Amino acid sequence: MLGIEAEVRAVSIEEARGADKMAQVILATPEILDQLGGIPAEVIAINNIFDLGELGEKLKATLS
Amino acid sequence: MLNSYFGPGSIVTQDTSPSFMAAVTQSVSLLVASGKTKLSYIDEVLESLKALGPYFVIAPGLALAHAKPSDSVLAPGMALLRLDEPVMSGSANDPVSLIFSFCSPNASEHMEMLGDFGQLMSTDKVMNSLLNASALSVIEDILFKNAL
Repeated sequence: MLGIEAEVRAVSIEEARGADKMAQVILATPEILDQLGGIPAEVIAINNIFDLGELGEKLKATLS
Repeated sequence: MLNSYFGPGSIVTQDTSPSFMAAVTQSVSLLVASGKTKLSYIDEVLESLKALGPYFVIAPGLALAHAKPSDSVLAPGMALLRLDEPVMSGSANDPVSLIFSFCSPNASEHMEMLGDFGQLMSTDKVMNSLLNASALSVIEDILFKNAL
């Protein structure tokens, strides 16, 4: 949909915060945002993970 | 395909539940009963819920209860508790009628399962069809055969 090639991983909060901070973008539900402060990645809150419109819009805004 | 993740008896429908936490506990218990996790997985999910809030209410009306991969997980699994009367979780996606739970022994299985699940759930009308299904067999057809 966005024409972007990406490596996608499911990680725990600990892994997202861990030594290997390789993520450029992190998608999370709003409840978890507080736990993801101080990470050198764009953190995007997703309300409906199944809404391709929401995902596409937010990813486009972040990556452009 | 999702049918390999749902063990026998892992889909239940009922009127309602006393609370979101009770509904999550019941849904995760279905994973235990169908041999996908040890009993300790229930505590792991409830600990995450207490510590972080309803972070696994990932879409309007839908929870996907889980904890991170651990020794409590015996096999990749999913379960579903559907409530006719939804419960409140404290999420912006309230009220919640579909309480899925899932468990995965590692991150790669986790991604594969969520990929299959996401593909199904992002299809138009699946959510409504699950909410309105009049029988277990109808829910199974939706989840396992993409039959709407």
